[in-house]
Amino acid sequence: MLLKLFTNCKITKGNNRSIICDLQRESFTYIPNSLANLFDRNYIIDTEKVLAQLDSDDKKIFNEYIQLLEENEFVFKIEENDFGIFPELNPEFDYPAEISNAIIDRNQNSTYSFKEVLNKILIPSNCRHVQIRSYDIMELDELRIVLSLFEDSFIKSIDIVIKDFPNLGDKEIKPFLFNFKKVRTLILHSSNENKLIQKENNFGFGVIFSITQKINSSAHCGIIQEEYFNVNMQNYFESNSYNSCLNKKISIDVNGDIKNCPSMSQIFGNIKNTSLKEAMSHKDFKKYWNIHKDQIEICKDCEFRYICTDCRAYVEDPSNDRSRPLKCGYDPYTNEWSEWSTNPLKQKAIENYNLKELFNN
Amino acid sequence: MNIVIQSESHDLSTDDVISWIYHLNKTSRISKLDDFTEVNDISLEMSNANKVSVVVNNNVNIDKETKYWYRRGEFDIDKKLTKKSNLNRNLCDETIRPILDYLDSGINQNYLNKFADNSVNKLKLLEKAINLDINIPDTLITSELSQLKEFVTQHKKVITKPIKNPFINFNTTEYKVKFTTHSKLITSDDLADEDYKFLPSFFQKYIEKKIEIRSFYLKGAFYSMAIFSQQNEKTKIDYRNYDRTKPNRCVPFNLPDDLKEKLTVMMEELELNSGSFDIILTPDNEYYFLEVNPIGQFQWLSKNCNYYLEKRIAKSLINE
Repeated sequence: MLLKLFTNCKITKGNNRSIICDLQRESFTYIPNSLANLFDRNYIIDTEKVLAQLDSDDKKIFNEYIQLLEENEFVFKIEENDFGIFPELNPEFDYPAEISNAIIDRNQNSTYSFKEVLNKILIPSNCRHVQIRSYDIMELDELRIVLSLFEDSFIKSIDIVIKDFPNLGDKEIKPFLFNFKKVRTLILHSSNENKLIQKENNFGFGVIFSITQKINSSAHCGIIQEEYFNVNMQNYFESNSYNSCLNKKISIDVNGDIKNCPSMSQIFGNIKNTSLKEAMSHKDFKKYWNIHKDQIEICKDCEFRYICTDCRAYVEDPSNDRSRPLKCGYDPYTNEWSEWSTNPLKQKAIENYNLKELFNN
Repeated sequence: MNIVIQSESHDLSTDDVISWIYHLNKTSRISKLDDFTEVNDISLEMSNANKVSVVVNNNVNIDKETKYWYRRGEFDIDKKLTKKSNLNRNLCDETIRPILDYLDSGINQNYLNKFADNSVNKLKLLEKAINLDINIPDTLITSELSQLKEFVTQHKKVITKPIKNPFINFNTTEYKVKFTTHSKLITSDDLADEDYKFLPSFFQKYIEKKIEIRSFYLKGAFYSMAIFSQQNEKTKIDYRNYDRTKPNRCVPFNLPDDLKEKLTVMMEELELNSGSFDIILTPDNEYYFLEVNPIGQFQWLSKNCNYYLEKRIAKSLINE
């Protein structure tokens, strides 16, 4: 019997184990490397051939492997004549915009206008997904003006992180958000409790929750953990060739400075006097866009490399731009997760980035 | 560049294609006619010097250079007006109708689908397939139970599906009702003993499937997807009975060249430049043509196979 891996199920081999990324059903499953190695160049396992070489104990294990593959519908029986009719998936990543997503940071001292961001950055770059992060309190009236602006534009989704403020009750925030259908998530930080205020109610949109974490600067960002893994075809192929955080990203920091990401230091001009074209034509603007996981130390041995996020703002060795993300606690050589912030090997970089204050929250 | 798109306001595919058009050509001017657009105003100019130019509802300009994509929706005379009186209807038929017919005949050098593609006749498609030597399931349309019984006895398993559209809409003043009918399996157990008559209905011999194939055709190119519907009881007869928790495996597929050639001839003869084919591959490796839907869904095919069909449509519209 010949079993072929469906072309939308992709094996990512790690140092110790592998995963099958199911790009259609958007989930992943661990498999041992010994199973991953049984597939040939065309992702086919010839079961008779394999069985003939195994003793009875190994046969039992092999049958369990096959059962796992069949239960998850990762494989199908194929006849030799049909080899040519199932071509590989096109591995290309393409996107109908120069910029796919933007981060807009605010604090109480920010003076730049959202209208300027929309007209000078988002519309010319065809960017339709934005995240607004406010480290200080943003009154509902102000938020209403911003959201109305985006609601009437071609923007498709808005994620908001704002500081919770006294007297903002669930009763008030829910009807407020009801009018803004493009808001995907609204997170209230520095809150009294971690609480889900509203479940998604509109194709994944309209989620509201509060968290006790204090988000008072962009230093909070860049954490890599399993909850943030994202198994889907677009993300998978983007991660194969491009940086899974910075590719096609733009940011406006609290001062209105245009950056790759608010956590990074390099500035490509200020929104008040710089056009998108000027910012993007800077030789360093796309510097990190093509750095993908196969080129990053340690990550290149990790089975999660095409489904996790990257971070170039905080890396373990700040002098090496191919160093792994600082805030990742996973070890692909032991397959264990541990707390990144207390790892002795990371203390130098933590000091270097002045991240100590993060842990006092 | 002037592009006119006729569609439905909630169609996501249209939105994606527009993103691509804007990304590929920043100077394009896109006019959109959504859902049912009433003709309020129409003017047409023709001259040897300036050729043909049409202005619809005072803001949509259409001429030979205009790129036009018919996706969904309808652009027509206000139905309330024509329903009210015969006089109105006759007047409209004498005045506005010829202009609309002319517009729909494809006055643009570059267009993708047209409203008339909605009314492609399924029987015509099957006849074309026979003439081109493409396999079709044995087909019967009848209103007689006895004739149906004979057909079922002969083929054991038979399916029935609508002769025309699987969607029927009824609009009353209070409700909008949408009926959908998928393919249903019929065996002798389903047939009553006593004789009765029904409206002429469409029956086809049930063809055993290895896989089902959905193929999107765009101006001579095929983008095909295999649907593994046979492992799941729910989707065995009709994959459109979707299993959302465990969706059928859908992967890229290559149609054989000789079949592609025949299907291209079929599309050219029917003057369709885009459409979605439904095809079956049997366990004996025979291909059966079921139908082609000129305005079908392509987003799921594009997404499952990473085909970027939205980009290809955009490029085909702006001639890149």
